[in-house]
Amino acid sequence: MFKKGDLVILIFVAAILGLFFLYRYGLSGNGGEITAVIKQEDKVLMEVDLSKVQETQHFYIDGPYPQTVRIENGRIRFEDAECPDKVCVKTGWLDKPGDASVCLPNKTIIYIESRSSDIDGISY
Amino acid sequence: MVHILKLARACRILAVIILLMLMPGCIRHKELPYTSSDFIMGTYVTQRIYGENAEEAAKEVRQRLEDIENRMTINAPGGEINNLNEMAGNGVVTLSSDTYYVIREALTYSELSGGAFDITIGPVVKLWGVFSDDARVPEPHEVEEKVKLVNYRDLILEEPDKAKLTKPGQIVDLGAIAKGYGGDEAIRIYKKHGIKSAYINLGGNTVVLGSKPDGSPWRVAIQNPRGENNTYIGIVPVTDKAVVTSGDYERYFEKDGKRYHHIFDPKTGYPAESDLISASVITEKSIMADALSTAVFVLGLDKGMELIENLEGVEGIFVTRKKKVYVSSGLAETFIFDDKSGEFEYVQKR
Repeated sequence: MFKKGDLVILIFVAAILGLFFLYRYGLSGNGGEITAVIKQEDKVLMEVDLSKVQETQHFYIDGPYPQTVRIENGRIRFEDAECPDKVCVKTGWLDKPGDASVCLPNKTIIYIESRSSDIDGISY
Repeated sequence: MVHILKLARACRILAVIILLMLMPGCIRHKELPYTSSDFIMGTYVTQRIYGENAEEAAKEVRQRLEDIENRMTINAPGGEINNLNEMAGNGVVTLSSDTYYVIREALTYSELSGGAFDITIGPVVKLWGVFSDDARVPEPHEVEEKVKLVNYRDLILEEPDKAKLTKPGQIVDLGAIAKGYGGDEAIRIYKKHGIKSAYINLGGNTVVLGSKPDGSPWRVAIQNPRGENNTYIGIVPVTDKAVVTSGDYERYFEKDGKRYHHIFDPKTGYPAESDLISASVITEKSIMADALSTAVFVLGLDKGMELIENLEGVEGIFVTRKKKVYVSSGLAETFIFDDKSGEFEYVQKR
């Protein structure tokens, strides 16, 4: 019933479908990804998938009040800062989507990207 | 020839299959907001806007907030408030309609709160230096001297665009109200651009336009005043509202085991020592929510609740030192107490 040409087309279609599904549900699915973003003013300094971090890393931020960011598997935080109030350090670990820590003096923020959350924002 | 025909047929089939696969995707696909975050007005501002023109609107809001900051700041040189302060005891200055409006509103809330909210608090704020690198506990005689300069009745407005401070050394500080005004301006700009659904957070002041695109209310959480950032004690669902919180945890320093926070009692010149550690006010006007959250925090639970209950369309959430959470009557049905720390107790109605 099948000719050789049919088989080629069938494989071709199957391959396209496979790629499509991979693209749609594989790569774009969250698959345990926890993306943390470090920004200073408008500039993204670093994006990191916390779920893939194996060893503890440090990231240093310049500016009027230099800061140290500590990155571990699944979590991230400001570890040290030379600003007076150290609100960013006091914020502690960020490990859930929507978590964020802001440093006003050095104009930096770390946040964990969220696709959906129980809340839309926090009044503080 | 046969091959080409087959290829054409295969392509058609492929196209149909892909279309079929995309369709449920289209239905499931949620509209994503345009988001922007910036450091403006000495704080972190996040906007989340749905609909066309979102980017333009966000840009205009940014410019507007910078404008307001430049006019009203006392933390940088220039601007109208610096001008007003420099001329204290020395005559009248001319203001833009912006600044005039904000001062007029501020004076209204001062009257309304019996002076618990007072923008002439400047000399006291400066003395304590809470916002600078050299925060310190001043001597009692210093406080006494500075608190004498605090009196909103000495700030005189003259229609349509003039103002003066009566005594030399008096300082107007719009820190507890300017962001509130910024929130109202943001909403006005969104509406002007035909936007129906938007969220803006100005350093903790949350203001929402309409509901979320799916028609459900925005879920604004109230910060846990003793927890880490991003932890909360409850959620209030809102549409077309501002939710503004004042607390002793936002900016403070500690000296000899005592916490000195940034909200001063205009009557004492010391950080307000009411029975509250956090007060949130929810109402349509962001400038009002901003001013009243400060007022209520200074007034304390009883007087604060009384003030809120007497105002139409204004609701409040109060957290006391004893970690009890109270809400005004209009929130009894809607407030969702959700304290994951387990440290707080929800007292629905007294």
